[in-house]
Amino acid sequence: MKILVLQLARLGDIYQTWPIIRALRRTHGSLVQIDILTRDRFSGATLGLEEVNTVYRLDSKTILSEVFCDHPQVQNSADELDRFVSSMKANSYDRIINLSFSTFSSYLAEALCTKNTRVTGYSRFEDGFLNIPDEVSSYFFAQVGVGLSNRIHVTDLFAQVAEVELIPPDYTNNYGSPQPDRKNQILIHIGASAAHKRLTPMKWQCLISALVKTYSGQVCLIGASEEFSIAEDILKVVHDRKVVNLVGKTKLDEVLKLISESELLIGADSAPMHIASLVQTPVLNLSFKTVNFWETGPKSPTSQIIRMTSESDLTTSRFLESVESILHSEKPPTHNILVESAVLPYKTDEDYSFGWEMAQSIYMGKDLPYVSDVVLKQALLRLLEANQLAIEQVSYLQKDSTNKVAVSSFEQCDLIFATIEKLCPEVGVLVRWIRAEKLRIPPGNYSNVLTKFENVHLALSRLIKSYPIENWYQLKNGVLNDKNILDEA
Amino acid sequence: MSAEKEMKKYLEPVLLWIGRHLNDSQKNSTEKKKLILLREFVKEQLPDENSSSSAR
Repeated sequence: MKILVLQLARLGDIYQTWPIIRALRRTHGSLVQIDILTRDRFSGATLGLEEVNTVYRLDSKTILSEVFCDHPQVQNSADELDRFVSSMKANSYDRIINLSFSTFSSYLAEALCTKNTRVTGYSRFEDGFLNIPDEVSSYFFAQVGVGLSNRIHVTDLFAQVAEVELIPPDYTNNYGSPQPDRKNQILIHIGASAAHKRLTPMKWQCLISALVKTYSGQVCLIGASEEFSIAEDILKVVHDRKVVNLVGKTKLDEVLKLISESELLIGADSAPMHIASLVQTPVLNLSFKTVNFWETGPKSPTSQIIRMTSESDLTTSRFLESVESILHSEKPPTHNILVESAVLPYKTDEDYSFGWEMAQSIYMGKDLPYVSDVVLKQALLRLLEANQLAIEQVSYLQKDSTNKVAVSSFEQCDLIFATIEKLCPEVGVLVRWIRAEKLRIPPGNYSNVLTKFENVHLALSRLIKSYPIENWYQLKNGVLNDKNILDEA
Repeated sequence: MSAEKEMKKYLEPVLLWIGRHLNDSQKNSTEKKKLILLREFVKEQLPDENSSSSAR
């Protein structure tokens, strides 16, 4: 059996794929061929991943060499990419596990298929439409991302797409041997892949100055070469022999070794944090609300997450208390989010989320969440009405496929759904579910496709009608009139 | 010129070229599939298009 894992995203996603590769190896044994395809630029993140047979690299420079010039030869680039695809396809994979969730990866997965290949994750139908074959990828498509309701970690979603169940040793590749001794050393990753994820140099100056006063060990700054100027800014103020600047001076495998030897890593949501999850180094994750910690937070036990709207939320005392509590296994500061195990959800006092409760109901069979909010009730009623309109249009089209008014009205229903979602974001989980389920309908004859559309909308109707909506309608005509913002819109 | 602008300078004309050729009725479906794959590959090289989160 031959398996190809497609991971065309960045360093952090590749490190988050390691446990999946290990679980595949553990599940299928040594005789199965497990390959991974990454972008050449990020393939360094596979160094040390021993469970994979071959790392294939998609080399952007070679493919695009003929277009980065004054007389571009686009056809040559298309031919170069085609040669790469053909050489990969010759491996005749039995399974392709696409963990990239990108448009290009969906086309590539389809292009690499032979008639015997089974794909999980995004692919394409013969006619080029997006093919989301499995439920988990459908969930990913509809519900995963910053600002959405998802509370399942990306690594756990990857595992489900790959159809493996993770156990803690899949993270560490340590199936019984004792952990190595750690140095009296803290690493600080001062950067992140995007500016909105990282602290300013001035904030780091305050935090590191305070840290070196209380911590007796070495404090190493790490980061990519393009983050060197951030380190220089920090060190203009921080003058202490305990602080070592390694920014831009380490390769990925060296970073992995450094992290494995340290007793703590401090930093934003970034590749070093995901490396720490693989070597069980605790992390103090300084996480802004522009990042969904549920999806990409640390996984090493005893790690903590400090959630911030802005960096002014992070006081020096809270920072130092958090460091102390991790190093000395003490009670963490209030509101810090805790990691108990790589395979358990985060322990947090995070508020109730209707969206997350509803997502669990739709995708995991849990009971429907209670609805008390007036605006939310109205939004659900409006969704039901728009949904009924969509169902009616389908029935018109089943009788007469040339009914242009029905086609147009059916399309308008999607716009109404989007407007309701805009006015009441909490129902977005339902709107995105319906949108994704409609997108998943494969090409087929007209009547069958219409029936499938109808079934999707009927499922939404059934769900909303599970609530006591008759009572809600009565409320709408009475008590709630003064708050009827959705009707006004 | 920043690296991002440099990237756009070269890649945006490529997307236009591919778009024109995809409308060419002389091209067969295999040739068009190759061009579509390159088009999506190029799109993911453009700044802000190549992170996993944006791809999602």
